[in-house]
Amino acid sequence: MLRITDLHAKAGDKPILKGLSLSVNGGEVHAIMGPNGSGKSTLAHVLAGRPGYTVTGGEVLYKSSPLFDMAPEVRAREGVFLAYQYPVELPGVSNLYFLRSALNAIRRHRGESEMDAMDFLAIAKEKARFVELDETLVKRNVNEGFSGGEKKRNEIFQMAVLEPSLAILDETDSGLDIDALRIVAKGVNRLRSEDRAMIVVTHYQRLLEYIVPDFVHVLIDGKIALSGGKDLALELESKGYEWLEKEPVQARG
Amino acid sequence: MTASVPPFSEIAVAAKAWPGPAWLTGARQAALDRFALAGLPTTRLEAWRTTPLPDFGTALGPGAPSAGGQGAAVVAPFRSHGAVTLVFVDGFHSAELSSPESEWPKGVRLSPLSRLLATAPEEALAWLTVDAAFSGALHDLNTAAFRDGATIVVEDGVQVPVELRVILAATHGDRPVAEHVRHHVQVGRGSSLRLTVAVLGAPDALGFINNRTTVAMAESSRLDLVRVHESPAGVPHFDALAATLGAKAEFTDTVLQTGPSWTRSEIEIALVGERASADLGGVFVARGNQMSDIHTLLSHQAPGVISRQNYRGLAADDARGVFHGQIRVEALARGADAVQNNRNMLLSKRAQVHSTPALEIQTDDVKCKHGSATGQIDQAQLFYLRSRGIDPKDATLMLTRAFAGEILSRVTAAETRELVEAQIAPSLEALGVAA
Amino acid sequence: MTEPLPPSPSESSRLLADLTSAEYAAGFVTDIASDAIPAGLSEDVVKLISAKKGEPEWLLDFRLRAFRNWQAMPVPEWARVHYPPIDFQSIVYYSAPKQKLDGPKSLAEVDPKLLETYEKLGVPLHERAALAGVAVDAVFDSVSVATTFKDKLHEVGVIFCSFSEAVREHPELVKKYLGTVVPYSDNFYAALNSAVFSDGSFCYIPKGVKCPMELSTYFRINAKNTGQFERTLIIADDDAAVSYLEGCTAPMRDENQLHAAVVELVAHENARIKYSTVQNWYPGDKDGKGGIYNFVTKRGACRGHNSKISWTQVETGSAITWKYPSCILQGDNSVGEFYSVALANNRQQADTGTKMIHIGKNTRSTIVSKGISAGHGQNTYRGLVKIGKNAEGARNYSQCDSLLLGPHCGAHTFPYIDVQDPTAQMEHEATTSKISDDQIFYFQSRGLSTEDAVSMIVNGFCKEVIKELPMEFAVEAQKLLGLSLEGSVG
Repeated sequence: MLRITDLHAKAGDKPILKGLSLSVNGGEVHAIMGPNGSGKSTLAHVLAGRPGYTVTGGEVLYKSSPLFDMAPEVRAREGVFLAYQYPVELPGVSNLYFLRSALNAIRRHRGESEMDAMDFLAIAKEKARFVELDETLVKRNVNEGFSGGEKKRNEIFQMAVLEPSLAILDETDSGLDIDALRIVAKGVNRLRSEDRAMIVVTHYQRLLEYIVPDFVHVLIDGKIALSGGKDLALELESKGYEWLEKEPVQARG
Repeated sequence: MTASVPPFSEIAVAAKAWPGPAWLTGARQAALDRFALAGLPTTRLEAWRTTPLPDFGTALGPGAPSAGGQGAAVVAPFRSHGAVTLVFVDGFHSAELSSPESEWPKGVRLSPLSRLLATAPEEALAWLTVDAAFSGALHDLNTAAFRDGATIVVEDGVQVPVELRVILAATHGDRPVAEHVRHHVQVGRGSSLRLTVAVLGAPDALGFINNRTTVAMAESSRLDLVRVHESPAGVPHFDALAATLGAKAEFTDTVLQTGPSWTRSEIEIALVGERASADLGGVFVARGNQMSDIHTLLSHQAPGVISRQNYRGLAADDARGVFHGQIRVEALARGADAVQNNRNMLLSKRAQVHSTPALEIQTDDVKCKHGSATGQIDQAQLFYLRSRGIDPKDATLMLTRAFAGEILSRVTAAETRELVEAQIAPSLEALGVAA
Repeated sequence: MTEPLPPSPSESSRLLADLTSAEYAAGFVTDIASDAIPAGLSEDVVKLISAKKGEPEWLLDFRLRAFRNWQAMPVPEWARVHYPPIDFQSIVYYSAPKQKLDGPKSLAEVDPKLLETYEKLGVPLHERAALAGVAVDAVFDSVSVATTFKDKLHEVGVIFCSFSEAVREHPELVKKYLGTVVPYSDNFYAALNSAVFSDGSFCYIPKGVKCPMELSTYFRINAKNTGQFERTLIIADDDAAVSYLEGCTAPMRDENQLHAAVVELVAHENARIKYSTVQNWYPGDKDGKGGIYNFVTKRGACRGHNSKISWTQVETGSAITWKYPSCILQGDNSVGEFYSVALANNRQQADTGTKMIHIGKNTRSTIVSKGISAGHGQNTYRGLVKIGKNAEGARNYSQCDSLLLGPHCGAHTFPYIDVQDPTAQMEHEATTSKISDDQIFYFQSRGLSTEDAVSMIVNGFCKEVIKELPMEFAVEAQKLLGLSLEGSVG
């Protein structure tokens, strides 16, 4: 589904990713861990095509096509979804109207018919229950006045509606209390499927207790320093990142 | 500019033949003399610094009543069973397009000014002559040359159940004409009124609209005013609203300035009674070579008065937008509370916005603040929408609609809200967005 | 439910009872013989001033062009200040303390009375007594009487001297920069200054030099019926940096006196200029009699990329203050700042603010203006933020707060904002507040006097600006604010 080869990228003028390689297949959940500033969020943003980041080298193939040839909206329509760490507020834009526009843009792209407001409302209600998102929030303006936890849940709600092929969760656990974390994780787990891949970016092992990954990668200074199975997360939890920063370790697992 | 310019002398000559009491003829002559002395405003005047007048050509001369014609089509979207309409075509009352008198609400004295001047001119004497709040050449021109308008007098203790609509329609004639129109609205003690004023026109109309409204609100009265300024490209529109608010009077005004023409709105509110309140808002959508200007002056003159202002502007292409908002708090206005907010969005490299939020405060016991922000469309919001699959054009429209929507949401009456939403939609869709 | 209306002014003003007014500490007169020319202004007077200073032809030409321009200009009336028309023929345009023909060669030659004057004002000119790390150019009426630490500055290549000396010693620099930021045709008072300016300070920081000490000019008006028209020109060459301070006082007199200065700053690539003013001209008495008319044109040009000009002003004096220290942000990434506290007590009037003209890309400006009005004072912030067509990515943030003390004063804000580039972002905020009875009571209940309370609240209100001042000045400014408000709040 996704093949990243020797990716180099800058945030502003600062080189952040320095030769990152990673392969993700359908049905897999990959966790990207690493200390602050190692490039985790940069990777998420570069994959989504956010302005302000420049790709300076390497290649990313998504469903065998070069990802960087696609505009951000085309990536989204092809099934790439980024759940933001800090979702923006859109005052005056209603959640339902926004999401239906997005879904219909994707459906048009796939050559499917557009969904009318009534049908969409039914789906939205169902998916909102799915992530335990209060129906009144569904009808409000996008993220406007939402608490941190509500914003994160709204992101997962959008993911449930848009049904992406590749979901990138950028620090979805940050700022969540344990109950909110459980709800978000439950929503994500229900979205796991054979034809959907997920990249879960996180600083802490905590989230991975709830979303159990197939693979764990440790990002240090813009490169994957170590890869392993789900147990690697536990190892990192007890040992921290420091030992990896000192000497590069050969990939295991 | 002097009075020797033909259209002005034309007004002077024509005015002599217009019917009306002697005091009116005198007032017209005095206004004309002042106009001749001052000439049309230029950018050398502080109040006109950023707003050059368009070339009126020969369009300052008054027109004549015309038979419906294009008027019916122009007015059509605004006619409704739920509202009582008073229609003016090219500056003259059209009985044919207006609601029949049988539908006029009780407790409201409704009359075209032309009729009032013919039948009971003394009723207009009070507000036509004391109306000194306005000054300036275009105001004088209006006094000199107005022919008609709406007079609405709500008696004491009347909650008018229907919405009133005053509609001005400019049509295409054999020559450009100026419509100098004068309205007066009076809301009695404890009464309430919903009023919509629309300035519209046929796309090929040519001329000039000089529309002027005075509002007098008695104690504890309420007026909810909605104004749609959408005059066609060939009809520059100068608009003036002056309201005087008595004690505990509540006034709301929402102006949507979407017309492709040169448009300037002057809004002057005097809060003269204790605890009077004014809640004002508006949005301009300017594109092409359009010039859209909103000037407000809120004068706080009594204890405990409150004012709110929320104005927004969108400028695309080569358009220029102006917001000048002045808050004045007199020494008498203890405990006055005034807030003003202005936000503008620039959508092209060549568009410009001038914003001057001014405060003049003469006492310490006030709560007063203003804010002004101008910038491009929020890039983080735009990207968020794109990353959900929405293409940039739709995403932009979504954001500009939301930006203007916060002003539209001020209009609470459902039917009126639908009307103004439908009215503004094409303007928003036509906004060119260039990098 | 409605809230009760606020108390009538008589009740609040009980709280604002009059205390004895603080004496204007700098109000004494120095008894010194002066060489003054008769009152009045004509081409001959302009020529006479130029001749007295032994100026070169090109400078006389500049003055005469300015004079002819000035004659054709109308007196500006747009500011929100009121004063009777000034009779420009009744002003003495040149007055200098009598001294040796070509000025004192060293401090030892300076008239002891002058040294004593500056000593009394807290600005000792003897280097061993002087404020450590501050070089002072002392301007007395129309001329510079002394400049301290000149030699020390000379070692690092910094030129700091009186304007007259600069014309003699560095004509090429003066000629290159004079009038390039504020052309003589700029406005009425700039034209007048260009015609009759008598002295002032000049400062040049060469490439790559960070000026090792603060530079400062202390302006003193002493003679009666005299106008002060000084000119300051500061140039920071590539990668240079300088911090410059300016202070001013005048005797208490019943007549108004005119001070019309011009300050020009030029910052080249990567250069930084910080210009601080503590203005304490005689403000007039309680009833508005006397005081200085302070009509000044100050402007800085950020010519080079990454250059920065920062204005900080604390304006407590003058009967009328009318000035707008401005920045022209030409170089890409250049930065302009304006931090201001303006106080108008008794009958004082202040109409001050700034202009930030964004021309270059990614230029940034910050405006923080704090206006304090008391008594019958009228305080106006007037500013322009203009973002030009090619100023991509320009940013401005403006904040204008007013504090009103008492029911008879006024606070006014007129920010003009013109944006012509869609990528620019500008934000303006303004608030108006007063010191509430509750606040005062809170202080009192903790054992503090009303005056302490007011002074603490006012200092808190001004903190953002005061912290921009160099240390010695910050203390001075705080004291001055307290003194200037004494008697305004009881």
